[in-house]
Amino acid sequence: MSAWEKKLRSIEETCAQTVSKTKDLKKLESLRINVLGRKGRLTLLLKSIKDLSLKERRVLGLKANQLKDSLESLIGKKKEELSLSDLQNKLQSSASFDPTLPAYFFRQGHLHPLTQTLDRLTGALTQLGFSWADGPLVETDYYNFEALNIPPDHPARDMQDTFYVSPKSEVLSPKSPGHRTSDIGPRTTYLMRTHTSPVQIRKMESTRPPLRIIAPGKVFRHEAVDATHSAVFHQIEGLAIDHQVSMADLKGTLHLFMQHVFGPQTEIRFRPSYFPFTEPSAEVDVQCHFCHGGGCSVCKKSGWLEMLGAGLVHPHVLKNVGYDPDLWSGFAFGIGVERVAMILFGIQDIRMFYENDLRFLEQF
Amino acid sequence: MRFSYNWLKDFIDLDLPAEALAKHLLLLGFEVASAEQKGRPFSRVVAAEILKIEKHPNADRLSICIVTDGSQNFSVVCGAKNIQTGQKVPLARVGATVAGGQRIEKTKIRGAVSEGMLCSLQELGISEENPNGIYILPPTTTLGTEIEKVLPSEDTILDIDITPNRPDCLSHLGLARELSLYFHLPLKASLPFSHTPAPPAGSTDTLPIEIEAPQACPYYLGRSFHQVQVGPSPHWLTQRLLSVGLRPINNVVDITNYVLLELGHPLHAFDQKKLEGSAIRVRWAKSGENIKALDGRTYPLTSELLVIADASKPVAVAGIIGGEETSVTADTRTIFLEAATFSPPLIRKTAKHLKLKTESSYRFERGVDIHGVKKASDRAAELIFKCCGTPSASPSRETVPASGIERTPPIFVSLEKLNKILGSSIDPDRAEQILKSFDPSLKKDSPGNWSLTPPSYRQDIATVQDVAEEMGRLLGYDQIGTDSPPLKLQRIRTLPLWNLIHHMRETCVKLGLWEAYNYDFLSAEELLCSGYSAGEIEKLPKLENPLSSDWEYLRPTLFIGLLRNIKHNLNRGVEDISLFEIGKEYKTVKSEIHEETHLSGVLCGFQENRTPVNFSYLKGVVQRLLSCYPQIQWNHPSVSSEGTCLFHPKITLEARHLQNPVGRIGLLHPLTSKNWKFSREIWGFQINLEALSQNPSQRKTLKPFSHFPSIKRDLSFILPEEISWSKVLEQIRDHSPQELDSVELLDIFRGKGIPRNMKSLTVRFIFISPEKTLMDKEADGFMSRVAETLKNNLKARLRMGKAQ
Repeated sequence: MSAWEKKLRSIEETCAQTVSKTKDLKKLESLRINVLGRKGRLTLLLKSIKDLSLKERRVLGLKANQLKDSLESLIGKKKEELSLSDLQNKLQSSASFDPTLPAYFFRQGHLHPLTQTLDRLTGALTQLGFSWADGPLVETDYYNFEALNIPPDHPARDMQDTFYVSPKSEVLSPKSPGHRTSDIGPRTTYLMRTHTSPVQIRKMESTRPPLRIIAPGKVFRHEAVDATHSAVFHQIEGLAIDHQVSMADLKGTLHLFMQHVFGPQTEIRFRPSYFPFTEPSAEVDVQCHFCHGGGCSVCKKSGWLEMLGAGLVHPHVLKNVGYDPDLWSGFAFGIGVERVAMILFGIQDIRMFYENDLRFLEQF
Repeated sequence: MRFSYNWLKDFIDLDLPAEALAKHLLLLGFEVASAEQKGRPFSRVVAAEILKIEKHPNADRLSICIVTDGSQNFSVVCGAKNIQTGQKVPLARVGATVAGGQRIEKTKIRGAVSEGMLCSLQELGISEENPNGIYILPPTTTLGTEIEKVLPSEDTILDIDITPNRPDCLSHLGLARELSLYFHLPLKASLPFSHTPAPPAGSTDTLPIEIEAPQACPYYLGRSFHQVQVGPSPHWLTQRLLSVGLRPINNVVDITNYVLLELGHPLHAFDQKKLEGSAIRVRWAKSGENIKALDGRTYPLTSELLVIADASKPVAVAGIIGGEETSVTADTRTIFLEAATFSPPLIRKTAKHLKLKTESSYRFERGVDIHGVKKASDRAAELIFKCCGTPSASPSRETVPASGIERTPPIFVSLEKLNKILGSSIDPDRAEQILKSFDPSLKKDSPGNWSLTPPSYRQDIATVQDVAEEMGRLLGYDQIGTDSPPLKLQRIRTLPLWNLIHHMRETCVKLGLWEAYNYDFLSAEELLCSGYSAGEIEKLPKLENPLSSDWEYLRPTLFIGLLRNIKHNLNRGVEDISLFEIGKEYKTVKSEIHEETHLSGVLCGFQENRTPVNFSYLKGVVQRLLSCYPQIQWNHPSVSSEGTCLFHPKITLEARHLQNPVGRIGLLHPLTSKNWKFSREIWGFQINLEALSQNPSQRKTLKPFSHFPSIKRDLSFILPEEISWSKVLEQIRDHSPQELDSVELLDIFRGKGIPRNMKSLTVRFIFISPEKTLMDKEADGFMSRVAETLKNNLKARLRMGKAQ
């Protein structure tokens, strides 16, 4: 056995042993460098192979390379083993950690509860096939009242106390031919719209039937403000015009709408009522969201909550926009957004919607 | 209107409790605002049982009763003789009140403790009889029950909302008529219409009536009464008026009020002796005329108002209020009783003009039944004969329209049409039965087709739709099925503006802003504080009838409402505030009111990571909001536009989209801030959504990106203060190779080591090539070109350049 081969043997014997005994990653690494590194024993030995005879080279070279491979894999495995146990030890002995420390506070924005409610309501109606329509908040007397079958000096005007706006227009009201313009003066009277119904008129004037629209938005009433009354609030108007639309169709549509908003078990009730622009007219109650009809303080023991005003579009209204009431009929409804939001979110005082107190807004 | 339940029972035999009636009324379309029990001046009186009766040790006529309310025993001193052990009696415990407002307290009566009082009907205020007896309750009464639940009610006053289309229900007879249809109960024929006695011989005629405005007063009936004794009304009449809240005056006036509440027709009685001349005239007032009315106030009249007048002066405002001078007083012997109809719009206009709403005007403006005029006059005559001594009456005089009193034309009703409207399938016999209850003379044209003449008091029924509503009401709306409209599928149309609003809201929330909703109204003070001049405020659209001066002007900007919200929150100790609002802003253009949808926001305090809000943060927020509009240009606003002092004159920028201003950002103007007493910086922005929505936003399309690694280089250099970042950027962009991917300003430093009026910028450059991995050498070459450019063109001095 040549000295070269002896050296190889000794590397083979000592190394395998040391590797298996080592329990320290650092020692293992120094061993690896010692043997396999650029100036390691085996590396140097392999370099010196050129001094051997060709025959020896063929045999021992193969052996040495095999040893190199096996040592590399042995050390690799040991390294894996040790780092794993090292991690295990660390995990067991690791310093104390307080997971009860407060969480990072992510600042986030908030949509106003009225927006959330509007989205919920309009979302339901959009899915039922209603398109969007819009109109101005500063309206003329014609669109807000006259076209909706509420002539000047009609007692129904008492139902909606109105904010009037100046300046009055210099131009004559373009849309009231045949009406007693002398009664309302030569100039157009401007007012803050008292309901979203003027959008019905504007849409019908500009569109041929059939149509299905919703018109969400702000409305204004000249009313003293208290916990349940706001001079500014929101409504969503719905209108559908087609051949032969009936009260039953209205009932079916509103039932679906209310189920969408308040849950699939929701029941509705129609009560006769009066709106000048619908005939027949109805108030629509929804089964109380809180007691499910059993009677509670919110529904004043009745089991029902007043929710919508609705009816079939009055033939006079259809005539006013140039629709033939013998060919076309339709239904219209309106819902107060604040009221729905108060029920959905358990808000008692309507004024809170318009204070914009951050402690209120952050809850939604 | 307030209704007495007992009064209703004069006309219809109702035997259900008032609460149950209220539920039926609701389903019939009448909301009951309140139902108030009358004749209950007591409270907290409960049913109790007498366990033991002992003689009072110190008083022969008193006894000591031990009673129980079911949960507790009480010792009560009592003077009544009709009590026995085992009886159930009303017990007013300590804290209860009884008739006369007497409050029950724990007392000693002749040395014996009394913990309450046993009550008689008199003490309960229910009756004036049986003063010495305790009221004995039925043996089945549950102990502890509140007495109002046990004792039959004296009366219930129902306050019912009558919708404007139903003036026929503004009377007890009218509502009873409605209920008789609903409950299928007969209307009692007990209404004793008078057979007015023939006038005594030699008595004068009724005053002649001259109508000068037949359009405004289609029908007028007058009747004179003689030897009338004016005095207090009988008890039953007074009680009825009091029960529904009317003050009794004298028998004649009370009778007119009684008939108004009973039949719904307003009447007026004049003292005929005080009427000058020989006729009563219905004419337009002359401008300059006044009338002192029964309410004691003097009303100036105009030629648009209708009056009742004698030869020289107005004696009543037609249909609204009588004059004081000619009113019926204790000395009156001859009365002239007016029963008439007036044009509803005229009455409404007059009442509004005079700001005077009376029971009479309320009914006339809704419309009274022209066929009911004579009945009302007859009824009043009957009561005058009954209650005002032994008068005599002249035959009535009436003026009717030249064309006669028109009958409502018949309505052609088909079952098919009714079913089409309601979506129902009504039984033809049931339908006919209901139609007949309206019109006993209903004409059947053919099976399922009728001619219906609505009763004269139902002016609201004119079309087949109205008949359908009546049908639905009387059948019950719950009898109408639910259906789904057979609607064709359509494309759902959305509105570009609303889509933009939706997008902006969502983006604001993602950026950490909170949404606010404000009223559209501002006060002059808020506008002045925010830099609006008196002249500017003068031009703003405003409410003619604001609720208060806090809400007078239509807001020209959303910004001021948000300032109000900041104030509100700062006052409550909340300091980090970022709010936005989307809504309308208003202005006057050539005397027309324009409204536009805007988005506005305010920021103050700290943001994420305790960084105070600054201009860069604000600009970042708004750039993100406008990121769909890549053509946005930011400039310093050249001319100070209107709105004037909202933003700091220097610390502000204007956003333009295709040359049109669409937004503004900046620091709140220090003057405005001072006026609002803000002690911290407020940052704000405004975006005109209406203008933006006119332009389509950029659709997102994929841009190719390089697959090779980028190279980063940082460069620090010192510059004169006045050289803006945009100039630096321009130089860099103009002199960089196409491999320059991005330029980021890392830091601005002033202070130690930097000369005065100079600043040090640290800028990061990122280079990338779409074709290959860039070499360090190439990046170094780019950087030396940039450095050279900055040195030559901007006089920049290089501090250090660091490659990574």
